[in-house]
Amino acid sequence: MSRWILGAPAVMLLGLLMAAVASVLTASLAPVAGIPLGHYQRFLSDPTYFAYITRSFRVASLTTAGALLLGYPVAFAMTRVSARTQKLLTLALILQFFSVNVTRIYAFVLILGNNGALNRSLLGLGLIDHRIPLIYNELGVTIGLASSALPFAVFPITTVLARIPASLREAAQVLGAGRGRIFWRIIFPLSLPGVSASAVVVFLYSLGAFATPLLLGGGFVDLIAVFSYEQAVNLSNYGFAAAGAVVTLSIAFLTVYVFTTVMDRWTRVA
Amino acid sequence: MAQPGTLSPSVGVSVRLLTAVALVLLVVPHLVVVITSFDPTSAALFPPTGFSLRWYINALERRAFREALALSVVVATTASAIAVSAGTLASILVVRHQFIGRRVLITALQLPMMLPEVVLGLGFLILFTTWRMHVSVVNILLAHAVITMPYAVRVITANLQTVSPSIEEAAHVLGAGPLVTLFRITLPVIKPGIIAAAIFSFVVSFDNFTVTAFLVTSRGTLPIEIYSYIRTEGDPTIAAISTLLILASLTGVIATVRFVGFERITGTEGSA
Repeated sequence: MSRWILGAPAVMLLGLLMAAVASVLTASLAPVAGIPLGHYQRFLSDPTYFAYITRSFRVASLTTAGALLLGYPVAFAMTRVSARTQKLLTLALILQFFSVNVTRIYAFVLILGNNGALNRSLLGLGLIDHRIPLIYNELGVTIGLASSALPFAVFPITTVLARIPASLREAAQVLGAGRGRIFWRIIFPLSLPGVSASAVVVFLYSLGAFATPLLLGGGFVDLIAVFSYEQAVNLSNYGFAAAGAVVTLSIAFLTVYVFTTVMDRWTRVA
Repeated sequence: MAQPGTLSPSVGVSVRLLTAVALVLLVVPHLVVVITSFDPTSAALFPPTGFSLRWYINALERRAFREALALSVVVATTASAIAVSAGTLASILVVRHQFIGRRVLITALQLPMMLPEVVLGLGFLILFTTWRMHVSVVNILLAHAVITMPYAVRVITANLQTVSPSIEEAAHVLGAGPLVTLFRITLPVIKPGIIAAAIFSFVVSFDNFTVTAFLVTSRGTLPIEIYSYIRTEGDPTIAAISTLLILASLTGVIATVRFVGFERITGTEGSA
C-alpha cells in the first residue's frame, strides 16, 4: 500500500487544524485602526480584561491542587486494594469520561445550589443556620472542575505507582521502616513524575474550561474561554477574542514548561 | 499493574477513607440526578417529594431535544467514521512503515488533543467564516472529525503494535496485493481496536461542548440544547435526560470493557 494514500486523509484533517490555529494567530496580530498589535495592547492594558488571566490562573491552580489531593489517594488505593475494588474504582472513573459533561455539571447545580441538596441537608441537620453560597462563585467552579478532572489526575499517578518495584518496599520493611516512613521516604518521592504529569494535564484542562464556568460560575467566574466566546460569537470581534486566548495560553504553556523543568530537576536530585 | 496484595495487603485507614470520599464524589452526583428526575414538582429539589415520570415525557415530547439528539447522533457517527478511517490508515503508516518525518507525524496526530478547545473552536470559526462555509452541520462535523482523530489513532496504534507484521508479510509472499492484505488481513486482525476507537470517537464527539458552541448557528447538538434549557428553565427535565444519558454511558462503558479491557483504556498496562 502506498504510503501517500495511507497518510493522505489524516494529513488533510491535520491541515485543517493547522489552518484553524494559523487563523487564530493571524486574527490576533491584525492591526487595530493602524495600531500594530492593537488587540494585544487593548487586552493587556485594561484591568477588566487582564482580570480574565488572573482569574483563570487562580481557578486552574486551585482545581489542580484539589484534584491531586483527591486523586493521589485514589491512585494509591488502586495499586493496593483487591482486584474487585480496583475494578469498581476504574469503572467509576471511566464512567466519568463516558458521561456527558454538561449533565455532570448540572448535577453540581442540583447539589451545590442555594436550594440544593447539600444546603438543604445541612440546614435540615441543623449544622448551619443560613445557606452557604457554594455556587456562582470560584468555589463552585473549582469543585465542578476538580470532579471532572479527577480521572486525568488519577491515571498518570497510578501508572507511575504501579511501576515502583515491590522489592523497594520489602527492603525498607526488612530494615525496619514503618508504613508511614516507607510511603513518605520511598513511594511518594518516586511517584512525583506521575504527580507532575497529572498536574500539567489538570491545569491545562481547567484553564481552558468553558461549560463549567458558564453553568457553575453564573457570570461571576468567567474564565478566558468565556471571554473568547463572547468576543467572537456575540460581538464578532475575532481579533480581540484571539489575542486574549493567545496571551493566556502562552503564559500557561510557559508556566507548564517552567514547572516540568523544575520538577524534573528536583525529582532527579531526590 | 502491580499485583495488589503480593506483599502486604494491609492498607491504612486513611487511604480507605480518602478513596471512599473520592468514590462518593464520583458516584453521588449521578445518584442525585437520577433521583431528582422522578420529582413531581418543577422546583428540582432534593430529596423529591413524590414519584412522577412527567419530566421524562416532557423530555421525549420536546421537538428541540429530539432534533438535537438526532443531530448529535448524525454528527458523532459521521465524524467518528471519518476519524476512524483516517486514523486507521495513519496508524498503519506510522506503525508498519519507516520514513522521514515519521516522528513528526506521530506527534502531529496527537496535536488536536493537546491544543486547548477554545483555540480550536475559535480557529475553526474564523477559518470557516473566511472560507465562506456557512453550513453549520458540515462545519461541526469537520471540526469533530479533527478533534476525535487523536483518540482513534491512540487506540488503533496500540492494537497494531501488539500484532506481529509477519501475517501481513506472509500474505504478501503468498501473492496478496496491498488492498487484499489491508481488507482481508490487517483490518480483521485489529478489529477490536477499530471498534474501541469508534466508541471513543463517538463519545468524544457526542460530549463535545466547547468547540461546538463556537460553530452552532441555529440548531444545536444535544449538549448545547441541554445547556440552553438549564439556562432558561429550572425543572427536572434535564435530570430525566441525564438519567437516560447515564444509562447510555453505562452501556458504552460495558461495551468498551468487553472489547478492549480496562488496561488499554486507563493506560495502566505498564511500560509494555
